[in-house]
Amino acid sequence: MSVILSVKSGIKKFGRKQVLDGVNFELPAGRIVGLLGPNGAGKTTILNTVMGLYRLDSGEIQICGEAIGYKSKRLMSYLPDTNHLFTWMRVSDALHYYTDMFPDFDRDRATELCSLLEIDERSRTQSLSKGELERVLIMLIFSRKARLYLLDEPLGGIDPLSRNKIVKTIFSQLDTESTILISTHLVKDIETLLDDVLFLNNGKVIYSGSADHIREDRGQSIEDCYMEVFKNA
Amino acid sequence: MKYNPTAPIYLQIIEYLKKDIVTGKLAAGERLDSVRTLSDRFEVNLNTMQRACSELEKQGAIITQRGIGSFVTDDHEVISALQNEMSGGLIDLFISGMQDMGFPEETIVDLIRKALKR
Repeated sequence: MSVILSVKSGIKKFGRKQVLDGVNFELPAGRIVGLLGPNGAGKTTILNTVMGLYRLDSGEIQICGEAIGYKSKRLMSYLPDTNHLFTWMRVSDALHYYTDMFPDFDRDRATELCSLLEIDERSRTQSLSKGELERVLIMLIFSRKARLYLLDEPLGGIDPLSRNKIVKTIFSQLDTESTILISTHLVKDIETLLDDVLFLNNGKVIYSGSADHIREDRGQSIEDCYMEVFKNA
Repeated sequence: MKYNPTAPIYLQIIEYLKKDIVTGKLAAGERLDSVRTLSDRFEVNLNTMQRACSELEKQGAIITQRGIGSFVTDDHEVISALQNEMSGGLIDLFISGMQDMGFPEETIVDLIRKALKR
């Protein structure tokens, strides 16, 4: 299986604060991976460095064998934890914008996802509720045919019905070529979704393994395992 | 579908599909939906569904023909073996539960007889 993302001894400081403290992991193709950890563990920082928004102080990141740069960005579809759309945009403007920006944006897929997620293309993004906005963003990033999808807290503050739809969208996107990395601290919501987990604490990966391994060998749910690992951390 | 979070999901799906086969909900020789459709239905990710299917195939419960699809086995021996396996599991569970509560053998049998008559 080919490696989609590899991070080697990633170190990042903001001022004196050590945010990433030697992060190592590799993600193979065709997996849904949960990046789990408490607030301030460094989850968002990892995603932002992979996206090339921050630069590592030292260490190496490769996406499908490419170093971070304009080439690597084409391979990634990123959902930030904030609304990154311009406030004047309607959903249809956002669709135009994405079509212009990304050659891999699939307009048919977008229409399909809009109906699946019950999005009205005419609505103003500013007047959308939090859950509706999240669905729009999910629709946008999954309409691209990327190799690596980075989702930063896609389910925070979303009602169970919307959550279900979003989760289904995430499932339907996966194929053997691409990998999805989801950062969250809501472990329970995505238990059944994940193939693999990475537990992050104080800028270090303190546990990594497959979800079935946790259930089969440890006889624990991911949440129990999370609790245990972080209690001892 | 609700999953037990402490057991591997693919095993739970296997149990579910086996039950369908044993009860005839999935008839012998019937064609299964594609892995993608199944994964939508079970609301699990594709890898999990794939694993469940290949495990079922290994056990002979389903047969995959390349390029055509997967089918429930039409071998009745395999199906009745599945049936025995599943009933065996239930009975073991019941008996060990009863024994833990200190019921002697005859009482267990009597209780079952009474329950069946009801």
